[in-house]
Amino acid sequence: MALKTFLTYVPKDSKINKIHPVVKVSLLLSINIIAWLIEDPIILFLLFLIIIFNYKIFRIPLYGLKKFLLSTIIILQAIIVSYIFGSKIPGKNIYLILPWGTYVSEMTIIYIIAMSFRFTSMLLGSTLMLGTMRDRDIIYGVTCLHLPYSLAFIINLSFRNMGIFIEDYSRVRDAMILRGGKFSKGSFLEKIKNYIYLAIPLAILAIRRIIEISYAVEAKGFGINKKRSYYHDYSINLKNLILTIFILSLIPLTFICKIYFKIFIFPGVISMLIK
Amino acid sequence: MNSEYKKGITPMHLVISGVTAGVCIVLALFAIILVPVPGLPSASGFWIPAGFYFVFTLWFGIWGALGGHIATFIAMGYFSGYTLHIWLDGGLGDFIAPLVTLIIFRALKADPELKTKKDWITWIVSVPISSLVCGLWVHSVNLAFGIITPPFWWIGVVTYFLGDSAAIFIVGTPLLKTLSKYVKASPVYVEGIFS
Repeated sequence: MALKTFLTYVPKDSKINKIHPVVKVSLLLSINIIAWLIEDPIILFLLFLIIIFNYKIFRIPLYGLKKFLLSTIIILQAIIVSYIFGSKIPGKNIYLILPWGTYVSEMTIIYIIAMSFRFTSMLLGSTLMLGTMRDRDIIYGVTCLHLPYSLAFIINLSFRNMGIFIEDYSRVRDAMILRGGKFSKGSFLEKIKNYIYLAIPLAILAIRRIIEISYAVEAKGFGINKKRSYYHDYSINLKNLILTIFILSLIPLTFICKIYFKIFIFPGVISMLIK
Repeated sequence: MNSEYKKGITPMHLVISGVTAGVCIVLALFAIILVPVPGLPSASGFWIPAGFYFVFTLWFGIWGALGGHIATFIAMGYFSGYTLHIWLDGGLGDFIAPLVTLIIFRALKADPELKTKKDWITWIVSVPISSLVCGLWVHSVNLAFGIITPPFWWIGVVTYFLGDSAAIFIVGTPLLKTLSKYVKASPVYVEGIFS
């Protein structure tokens, strides 16, 4: 038996389902900020391996990440192009000097690898947490963090409206095609012009929907500052609270290690190996 | 009618953000698929939703910008992952940009119906300013996260400035011109920034 989440299916008995949404949100923040603070390629590689290992532990199928593959390649090529053609990172050997004054050394290549591991760690770490959450987790997570319920309401409404808007889009587009409109033919500018004609009825439908939903919400007595009751109990226990504090404390700890003890700074451990 | 109904922030304002986000998520996904930009993560050469959430911000104040912000983060995250980098980069950038236009419009008391010469000049000047602010923000975030290097920062800012302004003018201007009157007569129009 598996549970459907935003991005993938997670086995129902996976331990990740037992983790409180607040812990997941704090892990999401920590992984991203820690990966951002670290420059050492070896440490970043270890972080990457730890995250992959967690996918195994929590039995999260990696096939859910397939759709990120193309984007990851695009970002990695952006990193490679940018550093090859636009950086000056001193090293022992200079492999390429470019006419505009930038050059490529062995340190440039190591830095590219470090940045690539930084990005993939952020991507895998974020997906590990957010990708395994359900809309209910997000809503209750937001309320557990004592953030306004309004925020959870907006996020949920936007997801619900996506489907409605796709239906509106298909309906308006079909109506325009029936009246002789062409969306797949013509030059780039002609296509854009057709999409602009499409935009006006879609905007009207969106405005009408705002008015309708507003009246419905008001009629149901929804108030921004009113006290609410909840169907599910997501109260945070002591174990989860300690875990959250520990995870969040890793952020200042990494920062202190970087600033005062000069670890995690590029090239880090690898400089000893090169010597 | 408007002054009678609009007293502070109401659930209607939350609905505006939710619906704007729902509309813009789909448009953003279309934009990324239809006109992708090689070399730039989750970017589109023609960011269709910008035209929508800029106009929605002029009609609905900060709530339209908030909808654009949520939409960009969700749509870009769908392709590039829901990372801090993506949120700070496109997500927050797309929240700041329409707000700049809104502040300029409200400060100069310009009308989104684009009736007078002053309204037109405000629109024509404020959109490039917003795009430039957003371009500076987006590529400074990319630089801070090590995705690009300083020489590529300028290239990114200039291309962003041109691409985003074009999309807003092409999509946004007809929407403002044809629908502003209708929106202003409806109870959802936001006269100030918040309500």
